[in-house]
This record gives sequence, structure tokens and C-alpha cells, in this order.
Amino acid sequence: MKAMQIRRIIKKQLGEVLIEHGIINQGQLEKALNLQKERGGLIGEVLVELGFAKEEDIAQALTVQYGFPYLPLSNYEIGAEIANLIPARVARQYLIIPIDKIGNNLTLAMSNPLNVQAVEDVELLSGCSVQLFVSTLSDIKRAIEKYYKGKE
Amino acid sequence: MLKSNKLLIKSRRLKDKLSIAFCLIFVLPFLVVIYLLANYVFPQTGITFQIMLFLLSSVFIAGIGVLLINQIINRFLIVTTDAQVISSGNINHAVSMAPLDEVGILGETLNQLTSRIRSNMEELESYSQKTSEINLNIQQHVFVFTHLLQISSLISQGVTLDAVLKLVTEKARFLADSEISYLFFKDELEETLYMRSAEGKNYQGLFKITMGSSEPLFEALIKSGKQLCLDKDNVWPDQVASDFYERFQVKNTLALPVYVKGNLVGILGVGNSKDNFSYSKDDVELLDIFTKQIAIAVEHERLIQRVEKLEVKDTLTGLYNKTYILIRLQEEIRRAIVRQRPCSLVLLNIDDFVKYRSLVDAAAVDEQLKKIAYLIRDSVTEIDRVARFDDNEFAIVFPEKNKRQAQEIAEGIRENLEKSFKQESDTNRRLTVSGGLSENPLDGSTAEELLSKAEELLAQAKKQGKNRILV
Repeated sequence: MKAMQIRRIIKKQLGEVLIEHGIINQGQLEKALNLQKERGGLIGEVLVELGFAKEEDIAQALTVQYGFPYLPLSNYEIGAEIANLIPARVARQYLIIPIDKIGNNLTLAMSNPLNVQAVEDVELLSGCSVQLFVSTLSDIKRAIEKYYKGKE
Repeated sequence: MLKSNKLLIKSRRLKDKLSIAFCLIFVLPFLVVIYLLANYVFPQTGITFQIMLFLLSSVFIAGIGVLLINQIINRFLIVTTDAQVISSGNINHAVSMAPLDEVGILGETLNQLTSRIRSNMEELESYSQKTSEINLNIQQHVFVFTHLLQISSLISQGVTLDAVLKLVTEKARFLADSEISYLFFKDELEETLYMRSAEGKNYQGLFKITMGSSEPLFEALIKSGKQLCLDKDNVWPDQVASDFYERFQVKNTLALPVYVKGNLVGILGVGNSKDNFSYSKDDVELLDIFTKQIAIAVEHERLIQRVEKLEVKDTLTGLYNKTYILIRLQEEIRRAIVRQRPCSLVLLNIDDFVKYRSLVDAAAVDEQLKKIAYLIRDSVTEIDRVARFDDNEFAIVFPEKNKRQAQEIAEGIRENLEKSFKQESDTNRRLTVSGGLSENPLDGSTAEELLSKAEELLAQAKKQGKNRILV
């Protein structure tokens, strides 16, 4: 999926989607937004941290609303040569991890597939088209710890 | 001196006059008597023994008279010769004293006069000595004040603090017959004194001296804030004095604290190895002025640093300056990392600007720089930060923009600039820019990494023919 296409799709904010699905209410969203304003971070993360939503809820919402497939990373083995397609620094900052590469298609798991800039950067970096999967934040973090251990 | 004319009695000396007078009062009457005796007495009476006796005794008596007169004249002559010696300048010569007659009185009077002259002259001499001492003193003061003036003007010229301190120590050495001068600065963290500047023999050795603030040498000075003196009148305990000599290689010293806003920042001292030497009040006062100059220089330096830190804008273009933008870049990178967002840096360098400078005058150069600055600022959004990074170099920090987004804007700037100079008839005056672009996280996560990457790409862009942006 090309970055340009994603940009067209993203119209609705994640918060609204979650409310529509009945996972959180307006008050919880406002609370989370206020907290996000104060100390940054992503709205999904903040909601999880506040206990208003589960990580899976967020991933699910993204899947349902935007059509990104969900990928539970825990059972997945990633080859070192695939991981090395993206520097550890970039993976850590954007919270992404490459999973597979077939031809000119790079499969990428990320917790926030709405981060278009990150996808663009990966495309620029790898020269590949990026196919996106959604994973939970903790899965991604665990995978990054595992595959980029001790790397800059 | 008398001008002698042998034909005139008037011009003869006293002795000559005396001989003439002797002839007149004695020889001539004697000859007349002889003549009378020979013509009128001897023919009648013959030469009798009685007459001969008379004659001889009167000759004898006349001789005594001549001797007496001669003696008187001689004494006069001695007094005259003495007076002549004195008048020729030898005032220490005394007139030989004779028995207390008129000549003796004359001599004594002369002696009294000369002794009075002598004492007057001695007094004059001591006055002139004092005057020359004062003159010397004034000269030294003028000398010192010239030095102080030099120091002040150096401070106001805005040269480095080290240059000022070097001059101060150099000039302080001219005070109080000093062989060395030294300036300690206090290390604020470690509470030690280290040599900041030193002059004179063995200055390399002086530079090696460091001192804890509780060492006995300068402890008193640091605690009391008063001068420290080691000389004939101010003797230190043997142990301390020998320790001082070992380190500084001089016997005497005078040191004063340097205070800035009530805080001790250093110690200025001078020293020499003269025996029986003592420092005067003047020396202390003059050295104190030098410490005040140091304080002014230090304060000046601190203010300049503070102003530089506060300054964020380039004066010509009104853009941010290099210091500010680098700090800002680091901040933006940190924010980007937290927010899982990108952040980009673009360096833009005007092509062939050295050549351009040689073609137009300085005012026109400034005008173009302003124009380009305006064009850049006009092309970016409110959250983007533009800085004049160097003489002909600009830097833009793009928060929240990745490489592609930043590149789009940078390309736009490059094109606009090219367009705006297109109507210049002289091709040398058609200004263009080359650029290098780097991004966090792709190219690094510190300002230094992004800067070095952007610089590298900029250099490549120049090499590849200029007027292009490389990412």
C-alpha cells in the first residue's frame, strides 16, 4: 500500500473511531487528549495507559476502520537481514519493525499505521513499497528489543 | 684679572706697587742723603765711624720696615689667592686664618661668607635632589597611568580576556622594581588557585604553580581580602617564606585580591629578590588599580558572554543565529523522538558568493542577503525555524516534517530564488543556492549528526554543479 493512498484514507481520527465502536466515551477521549497535550505521545498509547482501552482494542479499531490487517507479532520470527533493512534508531523512534520482504514489497508492522511520515521514510530508506500491518505497541517494543538489541 | 700695563702704576699689582712705594719713600731719600753726605758732609768731616753707624742702622731699620710691609702684603696676597680659589668655584676651600688683625678679620669674614654660601648651596643641592626624586616619581606614575590607559582601551576594543590579562600582568611587572608578576585565578569548582597569566624570569615555572585555597601562602589573603606583603618589614615564618621562595624564586612579594561583585576571582602579585626591600603605600595603591582593571575585564567578559547567550537573532537579516538554531534543532529532535515524528534540517548555501562579493559593493551584498532571507522565511510555515548559519549560509529546521516534505519546500525555495534573479543581465549576478538535507530519525538523532550529514550533502551538491538540493 502506497503512502499516498493512506493519506487519502485517513480522514477520521482514531479517537472518533474508538468512540464509534463503543470502546471509549467522549469524556475519556477528552481526558486522554488533555494528557497527550501535556506530555506528548500517541492518543492510542495514552488511552491504553489510562486504562480506557486495551492495546488489542486499538489495533482492532485500526484494522476495522482503515483496513490494515492485524498481526500478532509474538509468534513471528523475523530474519536478521530483514530487520537490518531499517536502522534500529528509525525502528525505535517510529515504533515499526520490518517483517518480510518479497521482491519490491516490504511488509512492515507498526502500532500507529496513521504515521504517514514514518511510512514515507521507510519507503525512501528501503526503496520498496510498504505493506502495512498493525500490531500492538507492546508487541512492537518487545520485537524491537529482541531484534535490535544493542544496536544504534 | 687685572690687565697689566707695565707703564702705568695704576695697573700694577700690589707687590709691584709696594716696590715702587718702597723706592719712593726709602731709596730716593736715602740716595739724596748719600748725595748730600758725599758732597757737603764727607768733604769736611771725612767718613767717620759714627756716620757709618748711623747710616747702616737706618738702612737696617728701613730693611725691617720693608720686611714688615712685605709680611702684611704677603698676608693680603694669601687672602687674595684664597679668595680667588673660592671664587673660581672651590667653596670648600677655607681662607688660611691669621692672627686676629684686620687681615685676619677679613679672612674670617670671607670664611663666614663662604660657609654661608656653602650651606646655601648644599640646601639647593638637596632641593634639586628632592625635585628630581619627585620628577622620577611623577614619571613613574605617568608611566603606570599610560599602562592603565592601554589596558582600558584594550578592554573596550573587545579583545579576548586572555589578551587583556596578559597585558595587565605584563604591565604590573613595571611596578615596584618587580622581576616577576603573576595572576592566579580561582577555579570555582575545585576551590583551587591556578596560574592564569605570568611574566618575568621563570614564567614557565610560575605557570605550573597551583594552590589549594587552604594552603598557608595565600590563606590569609583569601580570608581577609587584604593585601599580602613579604619584604623587609613583613617577615613570614621561615617555613612559609622558604616554601614561597621555592615556588616563586623571589624574596619579596606583594599580592592583592581581585574581586568581582564581591567575590574573589583571583590574586594579582608582583615580586623581586632585592635585599632590604620594602613595598611602599604607593606600590599597594597602584597594584590595586591593576586588580580593579582585571575585575573590569572579567566583568566585561561575563557580560559579553551573557549577551551572546541571550542573542538569538542575526542583526542583518533578522533571522535566528547559528547558536540559537543548533539549540533549537536539538530540542526539536528530542521532541520528535518523544512524539514518534520526524524532524528535518536543511542547509542552503548561496553559490559563488565570494565572486559575487567582488562584483558589487557591501551595501548591495547586504541587500541581497536580506532579500534571500525574506524569500526563505516567506516559503516556510510558522513552526519552521530559519537561521542565518554563516555569512552566505542559511539553515532551516522543519519540525514534524520528514525528508520528502522538507525537500519539497527546499526545492521550492531553490526554484523561487533562481527565478527571482533570472532578470539579472550579468550571469555572475544571478544568485542560486545549493542545499543539503538531513532528517531525524533517518540520518541521526543528534543535532551534530544531522548537521554533519547536511553539510556533507551540501558539499556534494556544490561538487555536482550547484543550484541543487541533495537529500
